[in-house]
Amino acid sequence: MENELGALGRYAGPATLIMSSLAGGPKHGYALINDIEAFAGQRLRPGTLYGALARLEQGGLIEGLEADGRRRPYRLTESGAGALQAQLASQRHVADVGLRRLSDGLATS
Amino acid sequence: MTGDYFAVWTKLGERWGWRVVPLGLLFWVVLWPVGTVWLLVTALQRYLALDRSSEARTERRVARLLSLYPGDWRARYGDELAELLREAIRDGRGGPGLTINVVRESAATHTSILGRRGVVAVACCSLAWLPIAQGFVPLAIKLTHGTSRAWFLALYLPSAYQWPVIAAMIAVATLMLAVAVRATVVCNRRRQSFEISEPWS
Repeated sequence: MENELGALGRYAGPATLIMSSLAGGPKHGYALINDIEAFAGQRLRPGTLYGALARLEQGGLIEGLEADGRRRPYRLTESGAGALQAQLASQRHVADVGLRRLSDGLATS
Repeated sequence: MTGDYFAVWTKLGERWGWRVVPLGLLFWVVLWPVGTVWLLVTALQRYLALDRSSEARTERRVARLLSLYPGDWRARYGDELAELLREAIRDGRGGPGLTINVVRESAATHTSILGRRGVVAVACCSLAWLPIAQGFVPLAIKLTHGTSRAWFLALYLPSAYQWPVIAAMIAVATLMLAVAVRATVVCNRRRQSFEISEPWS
């Protein structure tokens, strides 16, 4: 499960952002872009967003709901929630190690 | 009947089916200056008839960008992506960056649907004409004792190497076509299984 998002290659970054946004509830494309910009300070371009959404849906990590006009909301699936948890835990571990080493380095210098 | 070049040939195609292909070839061989002027006039007419309002321009750009994606993908995500593209253009985020982003992502979508074999098939099909020409044309020239060498590599070599190079070119061409056919078969199988499973259907 840990490698599910990693297997997306360069889409792993946008995929983590999208799934983190969907962890707060179903959203359509425009709402996803705005939410991601609000919590991550990064505005995904439409092509990147839909490239990642298509790969996540194909991988069964998210699913599309009934379309509301031209907008279709997406939600996290159970396996998507598990994959996101594993990915975020892995990122947290990397961040913890990096921050600890950085503070150790600053303390010794 | 409109004088639009494409409309005329489309109507002829609907009426006469495949026969329009040899007719078109004959037309361009015999009347190519007429065809060229006709095409230029059609292009000018279309340009003058364009709706230049900002909404129409946005719609044309969105349609152009969407056309870069594969049909199956467009059927599933096209409407949603079109809506986002319109919003991005309206919000003033429709610069060249948007086009570059869509071009890059649509290429990645094609590659992921085709797979590595599909890319190999496309590359082999696109490039196979080179060894075909470099093999069969010098072969014909040699067999007819022609003197022209044009751009055919084998004919510039010492006579001892000419036949082996012609044979090698034909072998490479055959190999490329065989790889392309094999990769296309595998690719079609893969594509069918893609189409059966959601969300691509």
